[in-house]
Amino acid sequence: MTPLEFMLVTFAASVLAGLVGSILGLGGGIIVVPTLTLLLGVNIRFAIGASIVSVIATSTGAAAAYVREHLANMRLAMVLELATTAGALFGAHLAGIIPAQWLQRIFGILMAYVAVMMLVRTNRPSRMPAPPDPIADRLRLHGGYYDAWQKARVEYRVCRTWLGMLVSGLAGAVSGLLGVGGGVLKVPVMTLGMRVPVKAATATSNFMIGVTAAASAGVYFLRGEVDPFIAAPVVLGITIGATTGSRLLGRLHSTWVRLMFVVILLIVSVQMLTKG
Amino acid sequence: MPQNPHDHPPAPDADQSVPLGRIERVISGLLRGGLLLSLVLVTLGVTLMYTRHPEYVSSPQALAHLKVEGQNPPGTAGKIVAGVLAGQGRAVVMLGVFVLFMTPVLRVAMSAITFLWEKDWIFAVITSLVLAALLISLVISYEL
Repeated sequence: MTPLEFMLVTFAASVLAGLVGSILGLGGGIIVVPTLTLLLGVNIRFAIGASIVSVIATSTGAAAAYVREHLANMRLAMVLELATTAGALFGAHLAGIIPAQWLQRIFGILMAYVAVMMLVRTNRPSRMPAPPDPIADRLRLHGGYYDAWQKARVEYRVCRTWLGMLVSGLAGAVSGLLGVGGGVLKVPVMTLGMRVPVKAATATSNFMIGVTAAASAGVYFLRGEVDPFIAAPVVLGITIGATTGSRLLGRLHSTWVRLMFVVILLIVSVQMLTKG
Repeated sequence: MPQNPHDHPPAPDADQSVPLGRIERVISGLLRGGLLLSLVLVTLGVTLMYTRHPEYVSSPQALAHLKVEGQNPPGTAGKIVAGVLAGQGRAVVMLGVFVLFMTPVLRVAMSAITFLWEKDWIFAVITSLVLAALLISLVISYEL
């Protein structure tokens, strides 16, 4: 395969990854990595380097739009970012303590459970009233956005900030070990635990994942695992996909966003369980 | 509930009820600027790559290093700068990727400054701590 063909295939996969990633609040590595390793025969180290590029590009491309539309809750994002980056600092030391294999099994089961919970809640939202949360009140984390599908403003109150911070901290700590970005854990905790509407949750996750990835980007860059033949089509493709996706999210039905997310969760869960 | 899902959706910026605050303008502007600069550099780099190496269209030779586990040339700042000055397309692409990587870090730094400016002390502290954690992990990674 010539570099031109190689870059065109990578570009096409990246457009798709940017589209899906920007809508679901994930980095797009789930599409970029298998395309590079399985289809194009690229060494896994370069594929992971490409996945970091794709996360940052998705986040940067989508977040600009989500901030302007108020879909991304920036204050909430910054609070959860603190937990994630702190978790990531400790996570570096975690590698020697807990075997990765066990972590993969635990998280495989956890994600399957979360997927089922998100599916159950799709048509039957919790009837329980949201518990009051003085932290969210104090930090003014509550939000609202204009939903282009419902053609109405959606206002929401955030609750269980402590739970969100706990899970985000955990996500930061294990993401390096599991090779899973934070979005897969943060979107469920925001929707199920903190009662953030799913679209606001994926948009807020998108806003955050760039920062988490940037923390580890330096390593891949310095090790030479970011290659221009891969990075160039990834940056260009992801930008096109993420810009399109960020315009679509507001107009999609929340149920579809949830169902797409459940599918991705199940795929990741199976991957974890087979690896572990 | 929506009245009719088949109606044309309104423009995404139909939300006029809440104006953009300073922090939103600063951050979305910064993200757009960083992405745009990165895109320009990457596009320029790719153009240079193909004009200087016409064999990229016909020969698979240049991709050989991607398939093997081996020593890769590290992407040090000095090498990239030297490559850019020499007009190497690949180095220009890497500079674009570097700009992209720095954008989220700058975003956190700019948020901290804006929160300070607005005397939102709690969030100034939160974002400063995020920035500190980011810089620490960058330093740690540099020493690895």
